[in-house]
Amino acid sequence: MRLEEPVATLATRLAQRRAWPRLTDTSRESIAAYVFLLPWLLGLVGLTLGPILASLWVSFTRYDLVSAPRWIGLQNYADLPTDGRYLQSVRVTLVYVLLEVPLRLCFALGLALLLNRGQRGLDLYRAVYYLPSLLGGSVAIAVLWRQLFGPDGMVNLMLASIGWANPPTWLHDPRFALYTLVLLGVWQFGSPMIIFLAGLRQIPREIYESAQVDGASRVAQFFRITLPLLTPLILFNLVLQIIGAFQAFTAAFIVSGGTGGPVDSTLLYTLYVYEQAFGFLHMGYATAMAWILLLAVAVITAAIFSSSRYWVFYMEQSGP
Amino acid sequence: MPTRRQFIATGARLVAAPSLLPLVAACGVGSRSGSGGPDLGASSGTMQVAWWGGNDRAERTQKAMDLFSNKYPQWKFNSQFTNFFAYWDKINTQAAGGALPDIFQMDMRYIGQFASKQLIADLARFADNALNLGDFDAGLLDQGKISGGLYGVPLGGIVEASLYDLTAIQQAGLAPPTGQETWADFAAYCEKLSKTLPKGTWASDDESVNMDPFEVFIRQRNKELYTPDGKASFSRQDMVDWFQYWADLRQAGACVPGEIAAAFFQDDRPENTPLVQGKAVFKMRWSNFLGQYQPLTQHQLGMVPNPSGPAGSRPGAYLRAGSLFSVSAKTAFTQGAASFMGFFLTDPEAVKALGPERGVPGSAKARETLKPLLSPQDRAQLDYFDQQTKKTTARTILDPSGAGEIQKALARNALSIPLSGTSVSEAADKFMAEADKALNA
Repeated sequence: MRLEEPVATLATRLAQRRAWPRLTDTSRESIAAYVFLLPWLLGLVGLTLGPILASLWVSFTRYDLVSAPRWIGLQNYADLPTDGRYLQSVRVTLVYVLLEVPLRLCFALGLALLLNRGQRGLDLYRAVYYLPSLLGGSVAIAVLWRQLFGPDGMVNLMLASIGWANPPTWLHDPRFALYTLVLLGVWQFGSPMIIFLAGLRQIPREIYESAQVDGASRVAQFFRITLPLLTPLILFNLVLQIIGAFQAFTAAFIVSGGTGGPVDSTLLYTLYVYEQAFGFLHMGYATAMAWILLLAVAVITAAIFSSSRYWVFYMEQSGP
Repeated sequence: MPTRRQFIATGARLVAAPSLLPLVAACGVGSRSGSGGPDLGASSGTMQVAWWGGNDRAERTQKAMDLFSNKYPQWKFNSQFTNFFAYWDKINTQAAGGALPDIFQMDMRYIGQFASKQLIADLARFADNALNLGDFDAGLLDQGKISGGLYGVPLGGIVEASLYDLTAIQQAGLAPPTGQETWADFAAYCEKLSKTLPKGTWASDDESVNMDPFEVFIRQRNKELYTPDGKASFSRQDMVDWFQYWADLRQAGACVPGEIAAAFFQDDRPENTPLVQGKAVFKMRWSNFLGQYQPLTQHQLGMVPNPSGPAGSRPGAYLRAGSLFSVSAKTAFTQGAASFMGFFLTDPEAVKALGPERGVPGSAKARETLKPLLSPQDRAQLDYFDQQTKKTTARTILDPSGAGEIQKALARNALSIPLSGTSVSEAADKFMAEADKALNA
């Protein structure tokens, strides 16, 4: 606030001033616009772009936060492929993304289809199914998950009551721990569901009506009409969810007590970045990892976009 | 316009100036004889105090701070506490930003690093006045000393121990351990015990993940964990022997399976300890944990020394400061902080409020103050501590900067044996490689 007031006064003065006759109205307006944007621009440069660029520099150094950074060139990047735990974190993250994103999108689409049938109380259902997404990223839910799937948790008590004498200890057995986290991730299908639902609403009813006249089955209608017309939204959701899944952190951090355990089976990429940075104070190494993640996500996103012309279908293109 | 804080900072710097030291010391002595409390000088303000620990510790610490504020109203406190791992993430970040709390709880694992980076103040000049260390246990105080300087004041002494569930042992019809067992005896005892324990209870917790009993084990072999220049002093063979010992116990069904060990490692609150949950009869932990565990279980708990090495080997246990208070090198209140710490360690009311929750107090008077007031488990802690400190050997080498990383690497590789089917020798190789890397980084 304090910053904006003098800036606003300055902008008004600039706009009123007649000593700059050569400026056209448009350029005067754009100067005013930039002056008004200044607080935000300062924030962008000072709090976002600046630190990002600084982190690029830090990634070429050895830096423990307290002593001055020491330039070591590409050493951090060269060390990555020889670090067994780094490779493990890449493996864990790929498994997580490849399972969580498709499952979450399928769930979101399936529920959107169910909710699109116009039954009564739709708003209530929508809210109920969206709720996990509001709660799901939070620490509280991760703690709840830890209790549910713990050795004496609800899940195992229920499994025991239906006759499974020795169910696995889901979170503490490296064979299962990651999948319980995938399940928690899939459960947060709310926001893609809302987007799919909006997309379904926009598909003109006439298309279905004429398909019915032609005798197309429901399955055929889904694969020939619904799915192709939803592809722009599938693309949108896919990109957003992939970016989000690569950055998954909270659940793994809470459930594994910050260790990525048992035996590194839930060592997601961001968790390893965090551990290296704030656990071991290897800031240079951690920022190098963060930059690799940024580049990898950028490449994957670009690849999805460039593949989209083969599978994404925009209705306008085929219009009459 | 100078703020109050700047003014105080200037004052503190003046006070700290070497030329004024004799004067300050004289004031300290003079006013102590008059008012019965340590000298506080003319300064006042609000001190930031931080520690790790649970609610019980928080209540006790808060009470001690209130007592100090009531007696010296010019001093106020802002306090923050959290669990151990989160605490160090936070302290590290604050250290980087030059914003460490004025007084913060220090661990033996980190004191060397913080002192060498000049983040914490040398308090040696306050030893005889504000800190009131006249009757402090010398062996315990040595833990806070680094090359002549005093960088942390120990808040309590602890010794590594084997805590056990006496009720479960009696129900199984066995005699409790004597504390004279060798590692081989302990394994035999656990195997015998496990045959009569109910299903779902194992004789021992899995300590292969635990650096502290491993340190006892390695010290019985006449080594320390690290060399003076900060390299690993344990060998691959030491690791193989350690992992194999627990693998054999596990094989015999005498220690908890990997999943239970992993669950505790990932969430090590006292109430999650297999000993407290009735899943294990033995747990190797520090002597002050008896007081933390006993209220959490109906069973009667006991405590004996850890198993000893082969005949003729030296004792592995050592006297350790459970935690220390260190003062930020950048604080404006060095003198005030030292006065508070002196109060914390020696004032009878503060000592009563704190109890031996952080370990046995170093001040002889504080110990005498506590003795008539102790609960049975606290008395057991004090007795155990007094007996065992006679049998310890001093630990002289401070942990190097990769030590926190090595603790995690030990747990990870130890757990990979039961959980991922890694062989003992493979786990030892991997651990050695990771330890070397952590220490050379």
